[in-house]
Amino acid sequence: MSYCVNCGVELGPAEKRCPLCGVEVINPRQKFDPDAEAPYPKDVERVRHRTVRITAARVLSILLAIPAVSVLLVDLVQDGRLSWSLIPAAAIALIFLIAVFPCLFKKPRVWLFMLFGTLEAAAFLFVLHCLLGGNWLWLFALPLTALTGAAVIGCCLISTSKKARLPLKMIVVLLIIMVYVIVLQMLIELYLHGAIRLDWSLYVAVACALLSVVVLIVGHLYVKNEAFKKKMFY
Amino acid sequence: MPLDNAAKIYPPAMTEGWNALFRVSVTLDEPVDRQVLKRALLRTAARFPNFTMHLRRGFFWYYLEKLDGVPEIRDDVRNPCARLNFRENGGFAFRIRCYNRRIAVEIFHAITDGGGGISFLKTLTAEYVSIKYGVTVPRGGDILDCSDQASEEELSDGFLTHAGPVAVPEPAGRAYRIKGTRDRDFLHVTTGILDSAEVLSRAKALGVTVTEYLTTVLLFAASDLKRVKRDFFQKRRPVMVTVPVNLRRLFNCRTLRNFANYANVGLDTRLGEYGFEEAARIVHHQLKLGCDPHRLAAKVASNVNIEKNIFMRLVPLFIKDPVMALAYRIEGDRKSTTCFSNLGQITLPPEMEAHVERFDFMLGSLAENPVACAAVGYGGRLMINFTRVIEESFLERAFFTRLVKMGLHVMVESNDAAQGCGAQGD
Repeated sequence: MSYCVNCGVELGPAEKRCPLCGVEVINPRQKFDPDAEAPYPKDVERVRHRTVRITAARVLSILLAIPAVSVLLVDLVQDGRLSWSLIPAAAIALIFLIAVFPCLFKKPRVWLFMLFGTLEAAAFLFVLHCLLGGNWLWLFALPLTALTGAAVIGCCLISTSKKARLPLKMIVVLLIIMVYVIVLQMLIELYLHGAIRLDWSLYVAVACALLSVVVLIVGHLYVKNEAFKKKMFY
Repeated sequence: MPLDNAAKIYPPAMTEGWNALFRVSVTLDEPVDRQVLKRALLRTAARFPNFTMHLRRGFFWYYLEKLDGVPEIRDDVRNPCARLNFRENGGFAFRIRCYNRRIAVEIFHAITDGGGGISFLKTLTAEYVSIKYGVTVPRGGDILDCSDQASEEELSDGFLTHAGPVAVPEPAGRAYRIKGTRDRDFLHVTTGILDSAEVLSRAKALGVTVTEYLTTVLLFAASDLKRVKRDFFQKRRPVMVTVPVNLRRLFNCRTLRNFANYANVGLDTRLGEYGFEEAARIVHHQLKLGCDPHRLAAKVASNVNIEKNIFMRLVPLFIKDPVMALAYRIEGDRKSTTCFSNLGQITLPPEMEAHVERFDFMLGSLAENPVACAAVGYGGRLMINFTRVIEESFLERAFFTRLVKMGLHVMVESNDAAQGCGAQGD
């Protein structure tokens, strides 16, 4: 019989490592017997997850196809050509892609959904631009979409990171917000006045910077100073 | 057949990867003969008509419909209690698995509870032993006579019959919740094997039962975990353990369907450090209070009142379904940190005892709490099965090492052994 040096429990004959702590148990007097009868067989039952997701995708497709086809038909019958109906149809296509794309994945990959959503939004804006004309797409709409997409994806990546601790996550999110508002005002000013002038975004940026410093100090003290931790968090 | 009061929540709560299952298994003295097992199963299933049922959707409620035959006997797998796909299982809400000398029954909670499950397994084993070895196994207690028909009482909904005159729901309050890295579709099982007499003597020395003793150890283990983890958002939540209570004995009812309630016991570690004896006494009194028949009848009445509510009865299932699922997700097991279900000491007639080596009982994954614990004693040994859906074996390590420190001998085995790797402790 072999015992785990860490936990003090006796290991079953089929256990090479302690099931409680994962430490490999080496007993020179009784070597591990790989042929010992394991308490469970090796085969694992796979659970099929596709059914509900695929059904949801199908139902969504049907539900969204009905209004899309309806508006296109009404437009075609009334005017003999497709004109205004392309805008609602494109909007429905956008909703379809945003809703159905996540159904194809087993695990929720939020950053990927956000990236795909940003590309879809950009494509939708491009369709609107083709229908309506103007210079708003290249100067304002697409840069703003790219900026918002990048900020959201950045926030998703840092908040779901397993390595980063909470203070670091908060600081990075605050920095992203800081950069976002500054670039946002730059885009607005460039589009409306043709020159960059920063005012309100700086207030937000300064607030974010101050908050980042507070989080940094509190995070540092939380790790280093036990008395501070007790006083503030217990 | 309508679902019993406790079962009504389980079908709406099912998801594509989860349904509420538990498993009872018996290990014999020689490899299982599947032909004999099939014959034994046919006879046993006829005696337990609530098992051979198909879950159907009605307009207002789910219901059970009689099925002919029995489910196919399957090979056991490394991940017990994986989601039961009714269609692949011939419509049955339970499945039989075999591995070398072991017969395991995995049961969807909508058809019965642990008490009904162990009665089914013992009767199945009695039939198996009778056919295989040609012995006559005396029937009585949990081991039913398969030449009889199920009585009306055995198939009745005990909750409706024994609901108290006054409904008193249990006050809600969130308990500390264990967190870890979720392992989708794989239920980790860690079994601790202890000497029953040794545990009983320790419990007796403190003037408590084995369930109370082990619940106290579990509470201490969870408290240790809470202290180490220092989760800021959960620091005010008490450590609570749900202990299912078999109502059959308390209300003298012989139903084979669900008839259990629970007692929630716990320690509020904010109040200071508790000594083990002191904590065991608190758990003893809390459980005694939780097992008070009047209090339980009032709790049952509050659940029955929900079912009888005119609004609940008139709303169609397609509306009720998501609402009940959401309610179960939000409210389900938030009141407890983990669950400890003890089936107690199993006794068998000598004709069976000669061929039975071991019993095991385990709970499938709970709705939200990632770790559950179940115990059963047989043949001088106590089997404690921890099941978890997270990679980290925090709680079972804290539990078993505490038992070791208290001087008890523990042997552990797990379903990670086949892979040649143990779980990561802390």
